Amino acid sequence: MPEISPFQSPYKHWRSGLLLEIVAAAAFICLLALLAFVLAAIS
Amino acid sequence: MWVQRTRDDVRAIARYLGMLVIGIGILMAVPLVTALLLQEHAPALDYFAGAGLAIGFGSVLMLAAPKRVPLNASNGLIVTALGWLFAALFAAVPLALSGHYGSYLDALFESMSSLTTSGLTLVQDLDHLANAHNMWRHLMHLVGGQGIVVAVLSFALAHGGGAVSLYLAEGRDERIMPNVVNTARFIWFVTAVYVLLGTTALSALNLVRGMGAVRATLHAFWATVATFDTGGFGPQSQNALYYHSGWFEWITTMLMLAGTFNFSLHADIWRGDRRELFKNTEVRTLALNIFVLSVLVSAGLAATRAFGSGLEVARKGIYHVLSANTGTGHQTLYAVQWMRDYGGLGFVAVVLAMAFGGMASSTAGGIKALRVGLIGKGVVRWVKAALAPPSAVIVARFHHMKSRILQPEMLASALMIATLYIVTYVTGALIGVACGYGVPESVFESVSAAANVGLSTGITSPSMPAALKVTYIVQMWAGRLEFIALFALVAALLQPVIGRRAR
Repeated sequence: MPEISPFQSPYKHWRSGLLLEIVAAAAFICLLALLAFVLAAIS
Repeated sequence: MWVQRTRDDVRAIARYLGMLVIGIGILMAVPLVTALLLQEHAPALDYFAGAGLAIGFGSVLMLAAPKRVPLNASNGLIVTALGWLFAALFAAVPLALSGHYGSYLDALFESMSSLTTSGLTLVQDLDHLANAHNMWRHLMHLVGGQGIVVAVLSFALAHGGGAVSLYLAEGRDERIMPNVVNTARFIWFVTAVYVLLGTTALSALNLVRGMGAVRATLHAFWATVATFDTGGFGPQSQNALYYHSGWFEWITTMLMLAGTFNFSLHADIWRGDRRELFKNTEVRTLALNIFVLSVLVSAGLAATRAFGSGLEVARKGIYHVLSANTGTGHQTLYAVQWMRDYGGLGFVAVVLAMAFGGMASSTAGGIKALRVGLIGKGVVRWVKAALAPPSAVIVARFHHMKSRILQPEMLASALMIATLYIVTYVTGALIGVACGYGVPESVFESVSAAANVGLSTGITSPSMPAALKVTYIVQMWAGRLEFIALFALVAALLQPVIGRRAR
């Protein structure tokens, strides 16, 4: 994958970037919720 | 050597402060229009008075300093420190006139809390507060989250030379684009995108759950702004608990995480550099931090059995870790439950989450994940160096937009600011204890104020001593500016004394 120049416009891929952020945040919250379920179940 | 400020320096500071105060007055047009549209006549008068006072005072300051003088970095620090204080002083006027605050000091507490995106509140009878006042409380979150000085002045300073000094002085040490004004505009763009998405999602949720269209939209906008800007205010006294909705909590946790993202990281990902999200030291530190603290809170809550099922543990545990770590301060507990139901382990984990804070150059407060990550890497390097042969050169690397070598001055800076936060947390807690509150509550509330979080065990109330109100105001102010601008102001005020001694 080619290097991304810091001088490249941050507006260029904003939709796909936004989608990645949302998916990553959702996956992280699901992981934390799963963790809470497991700890509540085994205690 | 202490810098002597000349008459021109004072004129420059006065001029920029004047512009800022006028900007605050102009911003009051938003709650004023809200009041007029919703036929809230008494609040409309409050904003007429507030805006008139701010614009009048700001104009006098600008007239007193008519000469167009450039703003250097040193004066930028003074403008920033005073700017936040002046903004809070004038923003408090319509709140003080509303009749919902016990005194002007309470209204000032509210405006400082709002601008610094802390979320601690002294409002009385919030459930019957006019929409215009709620609009103002949340609008201050929005403007403060972006960095009030740059936010207000980014339009006025489009071609001015003072923007760089002010941007750096506000605790934002990264330039996303070569031009500071373009950087400020990109920050507004990211905010607009998330606020639009959040408002749409929460409006739909509120409508489905039976709210009227206007109320649903206003609540959705306020909740989104308070969450993305990691503020924590709400239009109801029960805060997020009012909604009793898993979907509300899901959407707001997403917004909390988005709000605590470093704006440079948003820019890098939106440029197309997706790998940065997984390689960045700050992201990894924050994720690890939240994960470990979530384990502690979940284990603590599971042990107390106060919340029953796994779903309840997630909703009462994980939600508050995220709310604390991102500096948001939304809570789905009654204040008394922190001491009664949460248990020692969960309580300590939430305090640690608040103390660590979110990412640098975001709307979050606290020590910040990047500094915690750098200190961690510094410790590892120190241990490696102790175990290695004397001739070995041990280098620590970290990734933040690019691969970097951890320099001693970076580590020193991170350690110094972390130490200042800890000193502030402890000082506020000691004052709380001196005012007669218990140690755990005092520590919790002090950390919440200085890290600009807003979670509360109930100490923050209109009946608390005035000394503690002033303490928390200073903590919120210092924490938001990450100390340096405030120290520069104190040094400037003491300069006649310390300058004479130095001679």
